[in-house]
Amino acid sequence: MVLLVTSDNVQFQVDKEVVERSVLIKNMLEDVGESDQSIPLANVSSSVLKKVIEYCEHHRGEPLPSADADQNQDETRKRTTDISEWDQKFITVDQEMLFEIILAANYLDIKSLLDVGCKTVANMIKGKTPEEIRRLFNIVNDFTPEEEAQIKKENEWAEDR
Amino acid sequence: MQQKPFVMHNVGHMERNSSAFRPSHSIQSQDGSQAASGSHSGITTPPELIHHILAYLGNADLVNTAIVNPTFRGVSQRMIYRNVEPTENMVIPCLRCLASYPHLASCTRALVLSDVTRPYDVFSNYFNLLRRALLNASSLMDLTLLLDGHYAKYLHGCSFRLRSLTTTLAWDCDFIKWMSEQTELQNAMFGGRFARDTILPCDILPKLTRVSSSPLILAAVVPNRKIKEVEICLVQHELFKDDILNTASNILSYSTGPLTALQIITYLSNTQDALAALMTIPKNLPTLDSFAFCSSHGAITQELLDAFPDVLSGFKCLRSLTLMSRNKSDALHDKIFTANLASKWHKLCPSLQSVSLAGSIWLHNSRHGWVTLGDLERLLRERQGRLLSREKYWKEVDPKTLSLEEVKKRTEEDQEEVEHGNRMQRQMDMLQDSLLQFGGP
Repeated sequence: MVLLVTSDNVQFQVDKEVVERSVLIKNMLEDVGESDQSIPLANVSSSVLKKVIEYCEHHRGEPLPSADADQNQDETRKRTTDISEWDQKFITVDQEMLFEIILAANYLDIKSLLDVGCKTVANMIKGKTPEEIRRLFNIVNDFTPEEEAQIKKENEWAEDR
Repeated sequence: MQQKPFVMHNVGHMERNSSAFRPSHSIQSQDGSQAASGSHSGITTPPELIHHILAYLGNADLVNTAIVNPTFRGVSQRMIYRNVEPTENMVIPCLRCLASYPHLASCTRALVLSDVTRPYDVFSNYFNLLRRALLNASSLMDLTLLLDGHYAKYLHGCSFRLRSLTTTLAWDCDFIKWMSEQTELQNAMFGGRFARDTILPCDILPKLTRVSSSPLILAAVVPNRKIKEVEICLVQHELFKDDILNTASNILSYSTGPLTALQIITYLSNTQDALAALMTIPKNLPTLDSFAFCSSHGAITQELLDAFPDVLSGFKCLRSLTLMSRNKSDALHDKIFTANLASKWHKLCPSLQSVSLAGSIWLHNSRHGWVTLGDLERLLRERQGRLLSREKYWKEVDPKTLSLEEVKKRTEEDQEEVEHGNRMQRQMDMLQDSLLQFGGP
């Protein structure tokens, strides 16, 4: 068992096999060796960690993606945004939690969870106008109309599909 | 360039309200004044997470995300310009963009251009525009240029070094000169016309290992190069004759690769002619590892399949065989007829490990004999299940009650199981390798 402590000082006792789905924690445990010390996760709140552990519990025992495969995939365009039924249900949370899970998955280095989160956001972006996407990310438009026209011109050829 | 995840995550938490990554509804619940302040532009949005999200989107959405803010713009445009494949009526606008915006053109790794000389023949400046665009595409690695004719001179001096090329440009002196610049080319489909007396000096294309072309161009390319995989394209039916195939396969045997894989795409009209032509392949290339035969027109008859063992028995170490045809009603597509062919042929060609007939795949398995790909996948899954339950057993069993014999027996069983699984996995990998792709990335 491994003891994790969240940013709001909540303690979680988690199976080593489950917690090692986080490459960050796996590496930490390997560096430290056997130890009873708790691991402080100053960037993850208890409500988010609870969800993350739920995910890791469900996927325990599944093979972890190799570092090479990750490298190759990173630069190329991903083909599918399909999400498995359980993951779909798991990730059906409010937007704030969704983004928190993505940030936590990124920080904890849990590739498959990061993928599920990012696919979900990608699906939310699909078919939306730039203004709707800005609202989704809470971004204020700082392009002038001239700049917008310029960008449209640069990508004009890609719109014909 | 990219920030470390830790730092970004920290920012996201400590300055929550200024984080652009924060969803809008929670801001709105704070009476909307925050959202109007304009302080949450994309500065704190981790760019690599935006990249990760946008990587799931196609151009139709990326053109919209590009207008969101400068960070989104950078990520979106790098993706749009990475693999460039404009539709036919967008070829000219696309080339104009590549020519006008060098910073975008330099992102392009793969470019597919269809021939627009016919609809655009009034556009006299086309070739200069193409040249200006390609001069800017400094990182280009995969190029498909379907442009018939003697136009290679417009490509001289481009700074990119291609890894793969598919083209219908004529094989003339200008083309050879361009090829002399493409020192990194590994994989090529030369679909153009061979101009008489064109010579390819032997120090050109030193890294080429995979090539698809007509017999004339193959004769110029393959001898004395380390070509491992060849596709012969015989588009006219009168070419698939034993004398032509004999000469062609004889020339291929001069590859210093050595040549391991051969694929023939041909027009099939007469079964006897076809058999005589096929017989010349093992005669000249007995050590092929993989052989594929695709009929682009005409039927693969029962007569041809019945006589096929004569072809197969000439190969010494053939592992993979693929037969395909476009004729959906020929003998090759008769599932009942083809069901036992793999095991029959294996007797005459014992090195065979995989046989693919009209898309149905059989694999040879030391334990189960010839099985279909679907069966093999099922066997692999079952094996994984067995290994998992054994692992569980090892974990749960009390070491004190376990006898030494039992440990030994189980360990041996496990080893055998692992070895068997690895063999199956290797077969699957080999199968993937045998699905040749010429020209493309």
